[in-house]
Amino acid sequence: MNNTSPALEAINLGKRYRRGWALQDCSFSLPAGSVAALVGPNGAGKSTLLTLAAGIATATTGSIAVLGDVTGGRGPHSRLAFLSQDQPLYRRFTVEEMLHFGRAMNGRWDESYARRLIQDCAIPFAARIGTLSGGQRTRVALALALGRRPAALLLDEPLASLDPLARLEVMQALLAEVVDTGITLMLSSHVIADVEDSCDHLLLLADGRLQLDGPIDQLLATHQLLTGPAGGQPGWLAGDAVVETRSSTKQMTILTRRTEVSRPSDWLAVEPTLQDLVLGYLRSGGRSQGEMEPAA
Amino acid sequence: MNKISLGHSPAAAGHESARPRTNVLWVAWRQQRFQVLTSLALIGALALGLVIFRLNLVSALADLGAQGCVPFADDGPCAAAFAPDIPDQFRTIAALVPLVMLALPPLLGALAGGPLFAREYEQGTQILSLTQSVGPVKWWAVKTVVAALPVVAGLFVLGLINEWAMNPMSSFAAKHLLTPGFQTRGITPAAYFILAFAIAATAGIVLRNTAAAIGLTVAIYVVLLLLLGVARPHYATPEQFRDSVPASGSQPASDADDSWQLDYYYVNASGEKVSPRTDGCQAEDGYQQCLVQQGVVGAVIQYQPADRFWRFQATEAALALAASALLFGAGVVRLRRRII
Repeated sequence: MNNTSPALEAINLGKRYRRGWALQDCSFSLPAGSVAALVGPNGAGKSTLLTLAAGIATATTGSIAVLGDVTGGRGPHSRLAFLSQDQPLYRRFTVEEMLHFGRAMNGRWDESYARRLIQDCAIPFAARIGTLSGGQRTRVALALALGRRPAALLLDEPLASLDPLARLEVMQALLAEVVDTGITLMLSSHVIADVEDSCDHLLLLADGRLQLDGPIDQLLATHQLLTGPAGGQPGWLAGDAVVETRSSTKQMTILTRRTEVSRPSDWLAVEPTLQDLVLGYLRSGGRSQGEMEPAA
Repeated sequence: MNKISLGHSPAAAGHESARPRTNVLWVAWRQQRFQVLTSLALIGALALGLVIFRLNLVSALADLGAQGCVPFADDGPCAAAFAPDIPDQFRTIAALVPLVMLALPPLLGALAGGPLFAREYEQGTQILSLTQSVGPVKWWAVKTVVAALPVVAGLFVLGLINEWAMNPMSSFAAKHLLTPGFQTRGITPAAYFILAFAIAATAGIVLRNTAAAIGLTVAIYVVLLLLLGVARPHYATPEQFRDSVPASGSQPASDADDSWQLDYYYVNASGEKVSPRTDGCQAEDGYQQCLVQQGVVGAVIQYQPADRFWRFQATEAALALAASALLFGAGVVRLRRRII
C-alpha cells in the first residue's frame, strides 16, 4: 500500500457462478480520490464486481487489488468499507447499539465522526433500526461505513430503495464527506440520473463485461453524437468508430468513438451526454433499452 | 485529486502491524442475550423445581420413618415397609420429569442454533458483520460460544441436579442406564444440547433458512439419538450372571438393582446358547422339567451393571461431542467458503 497505488485495480477479473459467468475479463484501474459510477442494467455484474472488491467473494479468474493489496475473499481490506444492497442493519438494535457494533467490530473506529454523521440527519440515538425510514437507515449505514475511516467506500445501489427526496439527501451527504475526507467512492446504480451530476469516473458493465471505463469528461470528449438524414451508414464514417446507429424515417443518429472526422454539412455533431453514451453502448451490446432507466 | 497519506500516518502504520482490537463478544451477546437468558430462566426454574422435589421427598420419607432409606431401593426392608406409603405426587413428578428433560436439550439446541446464522443470511446482515474488521472464523466462533456455552453450563448443572433429585426415588424413577433415565440424568442433557445446537447451526449456514434449519435439526437429531441407542449396549462388554433353570416362563427381574439387562438365554451342558421349544411346556411345575429334558442346564443373564452409569455417560457424551465437532467443522468451512 502506498500513495501511488490506485484505489482499485482489476486485472482480468472474472467470477463464475453455477448459472454462468457473472463477470468476465474485467480490467480497470480506478485512481485514488475518484468518485466512480458503476453503471449497468440489472444483472450486469455490478454487485459481483463490488463483492469481489470488498473481499467477500473469491474471483474465478484474475485479481482485484485494493490500495495496492490483492484481496482474496477473506473479508475487506482494512481501509475499505462496503455497503451492500439494501444496507442490511440489525433491525432490533437501536442506533446507539449500531454505533457500538461499529466500535466493537473494528479496531479502527472514529466514534465522534460517526456520531456527528448521525446527528447531522437528526436521527435519535435511541430509535430502533426497524422503526427508521429507508433514508434514515441508509444514513446510519453510511455513518457505520464512514466511521471505519476508510480510504475507499463501495456502495451497491445505495439509492435504489429510497424516495427521490431521500436520494438527494443521501447523495448530498455522501458527496459532502467525499469532499471533506477525499476518500475514493464507487457506487453502483442502474439509474443514470442518480450518478451523472456527482461522479467523475464511469465504469459501464453489461452482460458481465466492462463496456466502458474512464474519467467521464474524457469519455464524453472522445465521443461524438452525429445527427443527419436517414439512409444507410454514411461512407465517410469509418466503420470501426461507430458505437451505435439509430435511424427513424427522417433522421439518423450515430454515436462514434472519434471526434476528428470531417463531415458533410447536413450532419450535426454534438458531444454526447452521459446518458447518450451509456445507452448507446448498452444498445450496441444488444441490450434491450427498457432495462436501463435513464431517470428515476 | 484528493490525496491522503495512507502509508505515512502513524495510525495507519500501527494498524498494519498490530491486530485490531475488536469486541465481537459484545455484538454476539447483544444478539443472543434474549435466547440465552430465556433458556437459562427455563433451566433455572426446572432446577429449582427438582431441588424442591428432592427436599420434599426426603422430608416425606423422614415423616414415614424411612430416613435411612435414601436411596430408596426396590429390594431390602425399606421398599417393603414404606413404598406403598409414598404419596402419589412424587411418583407422578418422577414420571413426568424425564419427559421434560428428554425434550429440553434438542428444543433449546434447535431454537438457539437454528436462527444463529440462518437469520443473518435471511436478512443479509452476515455481509454487514463480515465487512467490518472481523474474520468469518472468529465471528462464527464467538457467536457459537455465546449462544451455546451458557446453556451448556446450565444443562450440565441441571442434569446433575436431576440425578441427585431422582436418587431417593430410585425404585420409581427412570432407571440409570435405561431410557429415559440415562438420557435425562447426569451429563447427557448437556451433550445432547451441543449435538442439537451443532446440527441446527450448521443446517442454518447451509440452508440459510431458520424454519428449515430447525425442521432438519429435529429429523437428524432423532436419527442420531436412535443410532446412539443402538451403540449404547456395546460401550462395555456386558457382565454375565449364570442362573439356574427357571421354574416358569417369566424372566427374573435382574435389573432390580438398577442394572441394565441386555439378554437372557438358556445354555446347555457345554455352555452353548440354546433355544428350547417352550410352547409345549405346561406352565408352573412342568416348565423347568420341560426345559431340562431339552438339554437346558441353566440360564444366562447378560447385563450392564448399574455402577457403569458414569462410564456410559462419558462414552455417550464423547460420541455426541465428536459428532458435534464434525458438524461444527463442516459449518465453519461452509461459512468461510460462501459469504454472500
